[in-house]
Amino acid sequence: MKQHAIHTGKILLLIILLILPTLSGCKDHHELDNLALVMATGIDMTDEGRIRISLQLFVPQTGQAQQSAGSTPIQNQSFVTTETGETITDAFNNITRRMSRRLFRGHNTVIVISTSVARDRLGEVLDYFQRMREIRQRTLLFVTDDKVSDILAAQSVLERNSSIALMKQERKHVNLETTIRDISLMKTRPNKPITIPCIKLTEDRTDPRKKVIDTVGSAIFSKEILNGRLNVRQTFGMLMMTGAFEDNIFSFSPRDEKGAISVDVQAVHVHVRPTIHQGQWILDVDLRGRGALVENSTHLDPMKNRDYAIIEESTGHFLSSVIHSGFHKSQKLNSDVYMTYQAFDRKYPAEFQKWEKHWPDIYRTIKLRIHPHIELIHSGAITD
Amino acid sequence: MIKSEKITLFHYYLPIYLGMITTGILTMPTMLYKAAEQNLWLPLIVSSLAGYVMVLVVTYLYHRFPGQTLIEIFRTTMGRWIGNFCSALLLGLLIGQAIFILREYQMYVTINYYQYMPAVVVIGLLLLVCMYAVHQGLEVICRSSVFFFPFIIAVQLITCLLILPELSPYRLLPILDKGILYPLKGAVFSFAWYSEFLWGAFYMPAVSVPAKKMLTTGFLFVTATTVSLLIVFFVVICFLGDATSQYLYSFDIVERYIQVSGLIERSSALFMIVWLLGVFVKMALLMFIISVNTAHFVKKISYAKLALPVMLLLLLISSFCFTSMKSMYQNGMFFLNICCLVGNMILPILLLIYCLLFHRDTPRSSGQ
Amino acid sequence: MSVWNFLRQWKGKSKKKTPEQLYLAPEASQMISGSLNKNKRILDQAYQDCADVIQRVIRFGEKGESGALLVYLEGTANVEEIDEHVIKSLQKSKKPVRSLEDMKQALSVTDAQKIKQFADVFKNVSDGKPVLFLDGVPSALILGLTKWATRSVEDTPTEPVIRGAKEGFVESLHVNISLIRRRIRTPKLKVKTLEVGDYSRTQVALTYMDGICDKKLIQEILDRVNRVSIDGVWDGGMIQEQIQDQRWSIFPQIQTTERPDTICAAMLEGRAALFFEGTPNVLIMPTTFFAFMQSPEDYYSGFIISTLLRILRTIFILIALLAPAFYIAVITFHQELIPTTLIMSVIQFREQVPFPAVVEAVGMEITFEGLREAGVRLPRQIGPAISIVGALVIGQAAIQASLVSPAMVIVVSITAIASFMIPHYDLSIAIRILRFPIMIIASMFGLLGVVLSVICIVIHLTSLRSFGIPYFEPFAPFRKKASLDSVVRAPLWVQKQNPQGAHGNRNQSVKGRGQKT
Repeated sequence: MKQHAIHTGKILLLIILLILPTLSGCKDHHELDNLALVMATGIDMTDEGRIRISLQLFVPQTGQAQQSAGSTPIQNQSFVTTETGETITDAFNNITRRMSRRLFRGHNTVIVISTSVARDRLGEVLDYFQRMREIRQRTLLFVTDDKVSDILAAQSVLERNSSIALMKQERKHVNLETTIRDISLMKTRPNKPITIPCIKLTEDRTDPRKKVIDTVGSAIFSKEILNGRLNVRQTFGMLMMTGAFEDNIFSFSPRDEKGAISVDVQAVHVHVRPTIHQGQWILDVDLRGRGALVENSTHLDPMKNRDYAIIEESTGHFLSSVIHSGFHKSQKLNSDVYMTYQAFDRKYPAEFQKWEKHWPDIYRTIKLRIHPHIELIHSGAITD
Repeated sequence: MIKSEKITLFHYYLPIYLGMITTGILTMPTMLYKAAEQNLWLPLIVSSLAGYVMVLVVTYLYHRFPGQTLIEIFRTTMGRWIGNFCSALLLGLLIGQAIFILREYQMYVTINYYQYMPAVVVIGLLLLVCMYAVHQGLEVICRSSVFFFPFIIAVQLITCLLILPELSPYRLLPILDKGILYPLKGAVFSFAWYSEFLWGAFYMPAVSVPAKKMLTTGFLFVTATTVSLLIVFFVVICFLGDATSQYLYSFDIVERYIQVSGLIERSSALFMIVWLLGVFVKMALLMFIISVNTAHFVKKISYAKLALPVMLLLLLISSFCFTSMKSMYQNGMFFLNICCLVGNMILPILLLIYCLLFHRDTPRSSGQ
Repeated sequence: MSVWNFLRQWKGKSKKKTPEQLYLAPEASQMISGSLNKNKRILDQAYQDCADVIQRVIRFGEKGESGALLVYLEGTANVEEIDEHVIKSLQKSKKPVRSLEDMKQALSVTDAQKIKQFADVFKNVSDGKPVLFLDGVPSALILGLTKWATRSVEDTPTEPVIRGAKEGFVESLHVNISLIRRRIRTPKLKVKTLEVGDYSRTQVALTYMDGICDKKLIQEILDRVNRVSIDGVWDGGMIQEQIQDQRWSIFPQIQTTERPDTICAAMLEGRAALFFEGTPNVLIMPTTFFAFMQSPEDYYSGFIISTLLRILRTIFILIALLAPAFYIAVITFHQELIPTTLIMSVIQFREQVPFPAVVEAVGMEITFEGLREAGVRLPRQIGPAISIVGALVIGQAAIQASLVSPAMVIVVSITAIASFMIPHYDLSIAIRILRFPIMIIASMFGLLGVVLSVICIVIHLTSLRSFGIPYFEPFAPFRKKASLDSVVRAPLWVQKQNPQGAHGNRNQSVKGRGQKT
């Protein structure tokens, strides 16, 4: 038994020794100083219809420079490079060819797509990034009208580079957040309704040299083709319907009142009741939520019962108008970003299977009825 | 040889359980989703019947032929020639299953982590470790699986807990929208896969417990397998919904999406670690079974000595079979189903029927 | 192994002399004669060139007609007591001394034994006992008047505790046994003595609790110890290496300690302890992996604290084993695992380091091991010097010289702390050694390699046995009762009252696989 163990041990050792030399050139092995971190990818199109890729690369600084930089504000540590090609991979390879290091996309946080690409070649882009194993599932997507490389090269005031700034901007949950995984979920629905937030490069009000990236709404796709836009308010309406809404402060004027109130709307819950009544597809929505009064320039007194009710009612009314306007827009664009499809599918699976192919036509005719129940929980620290 | 090693009933079933949930978690959701969509729990529950049947078969054989492995039972009941033929067939089918598992492991590791590492190396490394385990014997395989068990379960459970905020239970609806028969198509696949509970029959003599206890514990483990997989399936579906079928390794996607405190992301390497532990347990057990069975043919050589040749054989065959993903999931899946169905279900059940009909001369108390 | 053992025995039979022949003078076979002169001649011959052997002829009786010969080793016999109780008593004795019985009466010594062979004379003189020959009597008297130089009982510098007994074993076997006796006051505490070492004839004592400890275990220990062939034994480690089940394993399968309370607790759990003359280190067997992660203090401070501490130790054992390997694997294979902001800093640090990560890591770890080893061997006065140099090598200076990255320094330091957290040195060194192959494998295969090497270690650990007890006992195989005192420490009232459960009477074959002959 024992002798035999030693015998096999020797054979084992021999085998390991034989295998080892073959592994010396293992290509999966990458030292950190042979990597260039891609922080963001931008995709747009040249006038000739070629794909143009812009990469935001992280530029490491040497120890000394960093130590001296300790006192000054964080420097922008990025570098943008651009190349064109027939396809995304082609363009990417062209960049790889002239880089001294391997491009590593495991830390790519942002993908910015220009409207020219989004208009009809979004499918290509999505296929590429979904297939790519290095790309994170949480990578954020954006659509922009501006030059993509400008957005990537924009200097962020607070962060190390614009991609981290964009990422953090989204994390606050006041905007639409579309990740690769969200896209893959959206792609399974009929007509492939996709929404991606739109960003825009604007000048800073006080310092015109500095640029700020603004979110200006969301782009609406159907069948992976850019159809139209929702503005910021309409986007909020959409988020409420899909359950992704966290909280936001809305300012509006109540009916018959001068001035405006601002309400911090939180904990919005949407209960959807689909019905099919004589061929008419109706969606009843119970919108429940809580609000806190944060600003009041009207004559309404939140301590009075009547005014209290007015505030609650007008908030609800405002929210439903927000949802309605966005919904009508989406019906016009024929992109079911409000995910009504699931509601009907779950309640009427049989009917739905019958009508699945004609869903775009049905979607246009869906009637939305919103029943808001907004509860004002407090009105700040003062009594009037 | 095997009789000198003693394991408890928990040790007896645990490696099978771990092996099943490991391979099950990785590819089952996608496979079953393609067949049954959001109702994939139905084929799973239905096919778990196969697990119960297999436990019954094993327990009956254990009760009827104490101290004999399945191969020995084949010989004692069916005579030398047919018995030998059946054992050889079983051996071949087991090797087939081993090849598929090795390739599945290699494919997963290659696609997700080591794009350029040669497949032979990936497979060879695992086989080396498994060989070491087989060489140390059944007790060691079972004990190390007991040791790995809490880690495997803990990581899967933590994954399921951390992804909770992202889940939407509505994705499980509508229930049975295409009737009850439509999802049942998927059961064919998972049916074969539950048959792995037969593997216990190859090292039965190592346990000595009353047959009744063996049966109840076996049922418990089949139920545990179903429940564990159902949890994972629900998580995957609530997370990915209709997109489940887009991803090859859907639970891996779940793992990759988790974010802890906005910082730690893509913990899928953790998942790979526990997955490797599970695959090791499964492969070591299978290799042990193959070695023991081979030892029945090559008399006078202990299975520990056969570990090396078996390893080399598996390495050789697996480097030629299913070299691409397409061949693996199209031909390979079919091949695996055949291997499992014939080797793990049909042959033993035939044996059982044969024993019931023709071998009533060795009466024991009719517990079954 | 069996063939090897056989070969060795066979070889020994043909060439080697028996142990008796080795350590005894050729005169040993002779019987003590009645003539004092003849006895003296034999002694002179045997103890030729032994300056420390004192032979003294005492004349006594009224006219000095009786003669006696006292033989002892200088420094081992208690000279004051010999003067007081032997020489003075004899000279004062009024009765005539004609036989040994008379002499026993005349002496005021409790321990006096009669012997007839010179073999016994040599043995006892070596043991430090004076031997008294009487003229005209063909036998001699051994006097139990020994006084070996020994250290007083002090606290244990190698296994310090905050709470609990401070005293530790010393180099004297008898003192050590007495320390045990003082704690377990029952005749059920058995002490069996035997001798090991062809020349040293070191006294070895096997202690165990009768009724708790398995009889088969005692027999097996005695068998294995008796089978050991060695010239001299200066520490238990020399025997440990030869009697453990898997001699080729890096993991210690026998526990050593210097603390009496640890030994007592182990014996009450049904284990046996092996004491050696001349060393404070006592062997405990059988033992498990988890015993090496426990400190005696765990039982003295509260169970919540000790449970948390044990979990902490378990985590740090993993860190000690895997941290550098994990670092290498992540840095070179799985960069996506590192949080984005962290990898940005790490890349900046790594930018100036000229070596690949694995070279950096292995180099740093070897440097640290060197520092540690230097610190152990260093005279106490130079101690601070090494820590200053060490801080330069593993620290800011190395980073500023761009030899290593700060992240690596942190990894090495955490690993160092972790390896010091393991309460038992034997296990700690095993873990530290295993770290290096895992690091190399990690640099070749990344996490895959790390996981597979961990699996290999677990296979090895689960295949080990310590005197028949599975090394990984309470977990693999899982035993519910024993697991209450493993990584967690359940309250003492929850743990079983009767301590036999842990390692006592069980139907387990004690014979290990490595010891089959």
